[in-house]
Amino acid sequence: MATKIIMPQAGQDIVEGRVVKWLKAEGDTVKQGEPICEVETEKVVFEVESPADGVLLKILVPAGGKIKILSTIGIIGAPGETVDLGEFLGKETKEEKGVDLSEIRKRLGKKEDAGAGKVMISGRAKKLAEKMGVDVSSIEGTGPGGRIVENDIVQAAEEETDVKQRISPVARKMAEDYGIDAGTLKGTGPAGRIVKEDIQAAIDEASREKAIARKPAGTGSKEVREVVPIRGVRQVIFERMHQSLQQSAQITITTEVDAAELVRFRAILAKGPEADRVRVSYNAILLKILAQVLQEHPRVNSSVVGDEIWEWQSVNLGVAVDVEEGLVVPVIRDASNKGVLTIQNELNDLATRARSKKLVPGDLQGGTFTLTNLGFLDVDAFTPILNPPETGILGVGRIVDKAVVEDGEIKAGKRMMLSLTFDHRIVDGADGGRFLKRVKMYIEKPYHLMVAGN
Amino acid sequence: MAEIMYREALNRALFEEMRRDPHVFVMGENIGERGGSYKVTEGLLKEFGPERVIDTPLAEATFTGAAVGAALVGTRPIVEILFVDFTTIPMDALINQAAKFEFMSGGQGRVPMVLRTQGGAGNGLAAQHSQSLEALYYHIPGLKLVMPSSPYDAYGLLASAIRDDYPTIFIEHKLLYMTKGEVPEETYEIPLGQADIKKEGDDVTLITYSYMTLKCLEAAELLEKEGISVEVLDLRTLKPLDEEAILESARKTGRVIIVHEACKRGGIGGDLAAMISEEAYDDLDGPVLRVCGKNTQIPYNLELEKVCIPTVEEIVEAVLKIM
Amino acid sequence: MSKKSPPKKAAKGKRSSDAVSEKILLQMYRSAYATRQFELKCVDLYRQGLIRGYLHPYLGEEAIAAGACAALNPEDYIVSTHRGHGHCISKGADLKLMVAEIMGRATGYCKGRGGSMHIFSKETNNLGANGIVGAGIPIATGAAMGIKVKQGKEVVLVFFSDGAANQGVFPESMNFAAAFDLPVIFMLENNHYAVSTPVECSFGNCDLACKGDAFGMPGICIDGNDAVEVYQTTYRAAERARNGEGPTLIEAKTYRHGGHHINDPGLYMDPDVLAEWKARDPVEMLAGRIKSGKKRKDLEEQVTSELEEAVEFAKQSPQPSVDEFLAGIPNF
Repeated sequence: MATKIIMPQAGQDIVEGRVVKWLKAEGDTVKQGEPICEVETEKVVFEVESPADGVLLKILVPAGGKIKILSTIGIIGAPGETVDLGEFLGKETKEEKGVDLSEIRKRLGKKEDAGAGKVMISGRAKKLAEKMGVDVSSIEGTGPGGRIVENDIVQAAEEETDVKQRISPVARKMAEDYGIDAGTLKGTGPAGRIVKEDIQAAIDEASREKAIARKPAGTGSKEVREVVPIRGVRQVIFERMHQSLQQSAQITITTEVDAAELVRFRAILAKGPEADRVRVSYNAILLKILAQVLQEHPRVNSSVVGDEIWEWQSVNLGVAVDVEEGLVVPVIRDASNKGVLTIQNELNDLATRARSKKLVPGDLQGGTFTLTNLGFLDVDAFTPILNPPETGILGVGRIVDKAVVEDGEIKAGKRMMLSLTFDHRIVDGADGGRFLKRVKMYIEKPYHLMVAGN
Repeated sequence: MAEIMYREALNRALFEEMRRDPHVFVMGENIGERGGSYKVTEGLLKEFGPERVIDTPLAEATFTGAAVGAALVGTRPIVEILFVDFTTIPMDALINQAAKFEFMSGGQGRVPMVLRTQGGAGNGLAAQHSQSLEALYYHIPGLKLVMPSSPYDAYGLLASAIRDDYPTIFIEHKLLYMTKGEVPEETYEIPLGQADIKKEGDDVTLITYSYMTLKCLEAAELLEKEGISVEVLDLRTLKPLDEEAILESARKTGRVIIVHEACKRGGIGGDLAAMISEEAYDDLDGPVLRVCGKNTQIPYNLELEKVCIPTVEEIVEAVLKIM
Repeated sequence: MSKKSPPKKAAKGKRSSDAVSEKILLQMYRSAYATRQFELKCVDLYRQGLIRGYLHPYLGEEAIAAGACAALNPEDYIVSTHRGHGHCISKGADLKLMVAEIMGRATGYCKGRGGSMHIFSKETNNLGANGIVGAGIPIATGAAMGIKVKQGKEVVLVFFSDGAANQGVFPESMNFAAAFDLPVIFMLENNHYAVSTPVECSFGNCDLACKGDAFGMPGICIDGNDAVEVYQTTYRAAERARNGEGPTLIEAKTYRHGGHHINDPGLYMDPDVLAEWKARDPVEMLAGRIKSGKKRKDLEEQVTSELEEAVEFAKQSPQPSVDEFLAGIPNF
């Protein structure tokens, strides 16, 4: 009959032991009580005695091997006995039963019913019910013992709103925010549901009425045509424009550049091999030029932070885009490491998304300098306002054919106005001028971009 | 019915029980010849002799341990430790021995002993002679815990404690010894684990015990005049606790205040409040409040001492707050 | 106050004589041999993981329990220590119920609630092993007091070691017992170590027996490995107690054959000193006194088979019921 030799139990908190050496070899005869091997736990070595008379049939854990306490390290049996290890060892380790959540839930079972006629409700749920105007008498509680708990109120309120008052959750929130009593509205949504547009209409109506009511006495013929609340994009522009002028010392300098080369450059690109994929615009070229010059004049690619001027490592160029609600300035990041074609593709994407209102906040953040082109509106020079916290913004006017003087003669030329606004707290007048002159140089001789920076 | 003092009621219970059972005996410091510092054991030595009324040497750890041994061989010792503050000395005998023998021996060993002691502030005896330490024993499984508030309760509960087969800590209050109350002539027992409604009421429940019961009754009288009906529930036994009575009263009034002299922190008020909130939450009109001793040692100066334990005013204020 | 007898001077124990009956010798040998085998078996069971927690073998000290308990009557009480298997067996415990208890089974003396350190046997008047060192001393003193209140004739013998002798309750209890002439015998098993601290390092006065005199009772120092000497000294102390003459302190010198508990290899013990004591093995010395070789062998075989039966019984015994335990928790 085979007998196990086990790794003996040591202190209560010891889980593992090591076989130091076997004093007998496989096949040796052993007597019960005879030391058969040495084991070690926690630096203490002690002898293990043979649990029975017989032959050491098998050593399962050789010298140096580690094993869990109470596991089998060897087998004693009759000479020549064969032992089916798998069956013999069986389940050595008693698996610790893990925590079974589904079993616990089953044990908790169905929640007991509260006494008939008694409404059990937690203090917190009660408070919420009062605040939301929810009727608790018809609610089935999901808390212990059938108690009505906070979550039950929240659920009930949502259902009530959606079903009873036939109003979409968005519309309901909007109505709440703007103080509109949705109950009085007629819904234009499916099945007479009150939807967002209905709330918006109510808001506009309310504003107009307010404005009319507020009309100062004695103004006679000054009737209000429309009232536009300052909200959303308009509100952002409203605040930032004012903030910009208040917080910096803005000065605008202008110069007229010869746009002939620029026009020629663009025309060449338009007939070039890439033209199928992408049509390069003036803006893309201008952005590339700006990216280069900003690298040469890092002080212009900066912001004021606290009482320090931080010059930015990368050039992230914002491009002013005119959309329905006003002006948005999506940003092309790291423009100095992007080619003109890449810039153009990004421009296209941003402009499309801007017009379809699909820009995300990430598109509008992180700019270090802005380009604003009003040439398409026949504007020449203007005084662009800095996009805080940037230090500079370049305004570009139209390219116009006009009479110019070259080598003492009057010729037909193409001219374009540049208007550079910069923060005089950071960049002095002369430096601003130098920056602008550099831009002008690249516009008039765009091929210099090829060797710039090398 | 005659009115006798709290300490006289205790004395009477000792006499009755020692006459009834020859295995009941008392031991403690100065309890024989002197009749005890609070006179509770007066006259016992004369009637029962030095074999059963033993003036021990000043060695709390040993004579309390000895009581455990005496109980194990079939006697019923009543040990007196003069101040509950001194029960810290025989803590092993109480916590590791008395409370555990019946359990550890699988029921073979019984320890039917009573440890009589007294506590509480109010006499200017300062920090080491004025404590309320019942929370320490409340926490230990295997010890019964009794704190009577009236002479009637004192007699009946001491008789029961002596007859009980489990170790009981019996904590008297130094300011109660001279209070008087009606006690019947005949012998009687009050079962352990039974609270007592000292005053019925509908609006608020005051749960209390020992000396604070008197303060609560005073407060209740004042509030009655304001039209507030206060119920005063005197626990009498802290272990086993009369949970049923507590919950019944809590459900009735919906407003509960626990009043005890022991420090608020870790005092049994916390355990009671948790139990009430677990079992009777939906019947409560608000959280369970506690009016307890301040979390401080007791100072010597009388005025300072007064503010350390709940006053009638504090109890009244708590009731007005909860209404 | 009760009458006190005049203090006796500390007397050295008589050298062991042969004037002890064969019956007593066999009783003592049975106790000692059974204790030895039992403890070795427990070590084995522990290593197999069948005994949990702590195990404090009485190996090397068997003569004290064997001799002392042989001098007591069945109705006398003993109070034991965490190293209490020897006391329990020598007082006549049922080995089956002991092994079952040490293995935590429902059929053990304490229904699996107590284990090795709290083993208690009402039927043999063993007031329990104790996990708090020295706690048994005042308990025994009180038991003696209780006997006086009952006007009984029993005596109480409390075992404790040199470690416990430094607890405050020891001198307090000696004083208490002497002041009231209590029928208690203080058996100090001086095995020279309180865990790993030797007597020389923790006592101002290493003559422990003389403490008796300081508190008003005889203090006698004997060879704890000589069961006969233990028997004779205890017998005289019991007579004293029964006659109302008060308590006695017996210091029985001995030595552990291993560390403090099963996982303590006892590396702090001087191997030469250990070898000396092992050469005076108490069980072997007692075996040597038994004239009849056959009786001795029969006894050994009987003990061996009893022990095997006990282990088998324990292994087959059920675990205590968890539900019953939880349901049985009282409300205090």
